[in-house]
Amino acid sequence: MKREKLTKINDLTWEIPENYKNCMTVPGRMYLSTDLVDIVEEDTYEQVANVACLPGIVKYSLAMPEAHLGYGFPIGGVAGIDIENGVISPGGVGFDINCGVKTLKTNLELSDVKGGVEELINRLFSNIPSGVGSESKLKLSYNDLDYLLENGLDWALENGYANEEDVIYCEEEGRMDSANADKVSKKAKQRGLSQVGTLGSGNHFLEVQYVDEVLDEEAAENFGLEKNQVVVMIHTGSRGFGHQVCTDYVKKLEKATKKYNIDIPDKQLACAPFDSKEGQDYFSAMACAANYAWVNRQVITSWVRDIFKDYYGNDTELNTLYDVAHNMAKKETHNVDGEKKDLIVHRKGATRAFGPNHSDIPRDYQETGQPVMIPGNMGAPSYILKGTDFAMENTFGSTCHGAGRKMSRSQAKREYWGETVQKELSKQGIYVKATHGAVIAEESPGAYKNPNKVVNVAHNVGISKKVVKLKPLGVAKG
Amino acid sequence: MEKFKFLEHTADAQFIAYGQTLNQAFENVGLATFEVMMDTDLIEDIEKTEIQVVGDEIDALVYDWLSELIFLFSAENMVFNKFNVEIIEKEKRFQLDAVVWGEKIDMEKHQIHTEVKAPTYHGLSVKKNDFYEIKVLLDT
Repeated sequence: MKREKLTKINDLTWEIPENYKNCMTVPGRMYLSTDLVDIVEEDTYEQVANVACLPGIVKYSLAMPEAHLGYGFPIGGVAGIDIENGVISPGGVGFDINCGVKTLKTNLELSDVKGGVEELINRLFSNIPSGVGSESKLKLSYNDLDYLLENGLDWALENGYANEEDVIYCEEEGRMDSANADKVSKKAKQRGLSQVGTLGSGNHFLEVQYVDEVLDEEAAENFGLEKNQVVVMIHTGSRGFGHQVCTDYVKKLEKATKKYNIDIPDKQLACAPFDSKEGQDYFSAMACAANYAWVNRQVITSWVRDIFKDYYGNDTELNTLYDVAHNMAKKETHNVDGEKKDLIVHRKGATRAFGPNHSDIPRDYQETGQPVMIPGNMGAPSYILKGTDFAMENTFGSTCHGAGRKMSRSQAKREYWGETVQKELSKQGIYVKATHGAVIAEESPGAYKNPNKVVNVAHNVGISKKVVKLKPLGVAKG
Repeated sequence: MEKFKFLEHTADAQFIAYGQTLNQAFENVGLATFEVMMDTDLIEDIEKTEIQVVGDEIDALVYDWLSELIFLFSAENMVFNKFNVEIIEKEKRFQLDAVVWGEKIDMEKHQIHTEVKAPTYHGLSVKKNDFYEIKVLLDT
């Protein structure tokens, strides 16, 4: 779809008219600044339009400010679909189910860690398995894994990897009740067995940062954040387990799409009625992968705590600010045309951003809205934002999840040399440790959109509001 | 004829694999997939694995073939660089029998750089003109 076909609603809001495709039942709506509209691949608009064809979709097929090309749904795609007469689609969740971010607040200040970051990152890198093919230090049986899949963070709590607060400050308290390990293939379990507590590779990372700027005093105080405070951000997901769940169910739901005579414009949008056996089976399997991802981030958290305590002393604290999911389909109730409706909200490369007084966010954050974490890249700031009422009314309580790439991995490798990028970052006071130089080149800051621009759109539109800006000190990458 | 060609893709890995025969094109799909992950010249063909997949449509067969290879990589740490594929059509279904050769990942030796998460149906196509062309987008 050509950019010229978009209707400009205002400087930050663009629409794909409902009549662009015959199968569309709602318009597409995208939150983008004019310069971001120019960067977005035209096929991304096509994907937003395709999602508007899914049975049961209400209000809009949405794209968040980092929108870019995905499969089926675009990355940054959000859709609220009626539970009674709508569908669920693995393409609206993605392969890395519940890829997300956990942020830990420390009682250390910038001055406490300066000078020691390189050694700290080296210790984190060598003690937390990362990179392709890395195996966990955890040895689980298939029975353990089934229990973990169905109980999420309760497993971590019972096995000494989590405390009560980790559970409270986690989206869904780290456990999707619909999880049923019987709905997961043996293959997915085989892939997942040795990867609990592994960071993975690509854009996944473990980053030590500090609060560079407080942008909303009241909210920052509520979140327990202050200037120069050191924080740790963990970005990873459900690893091979989640990838296999999605692989399996795209296939199964492709059959279901035919069985239920659902007409879709792209095979990667394979779906089934939410209340069908196939739809419910996928929902139960997806929930297992969501639980797996929460446990993965939590096990890594537990090891990060050990490493920090070993290095900075036993009185070092690392408390969970929050843990958010990026790739998920969840049952939620939202206002649709003045009526409360039960929806299955798909967020693919998008973060839940529930506003104040929502019963699904922790009691301590009720007045502020939920914390939203938007990672930048190795050389650019990350942000903590808060959820808003505007998001509740307009995006089913959703916002962006990152900046998104603007350059392919191969182009990045042609344009950047890992060691040079590493040295340039080092001059800025950022220490990067990765399995090898190619990873650093691929993930070079120049290969990504400017996170400030993306976050500013989210902030200025009002789908989440900036609370603090974080700057990286050191990064461990897969 | 080249075995495969990589295409530019912002977030993931996309390629077209070629073959004089459908079997050869499928073999090159396998090789290109492992080339996304690492330099396949560094793999030694010391272990043999047999794979069988069955599909109603040819693009579904590509998806399943890739699913199997990625599964063996992710769950059993195997990497491959030699593929022998034989596809037969029976009762309106396609059956793929393959023998693949490779070895267990050795992080020092192979220096694997890109993780392939899964195959996708996005833009997946199998065409035959003068020769076979299979276009694939992998989630990385």
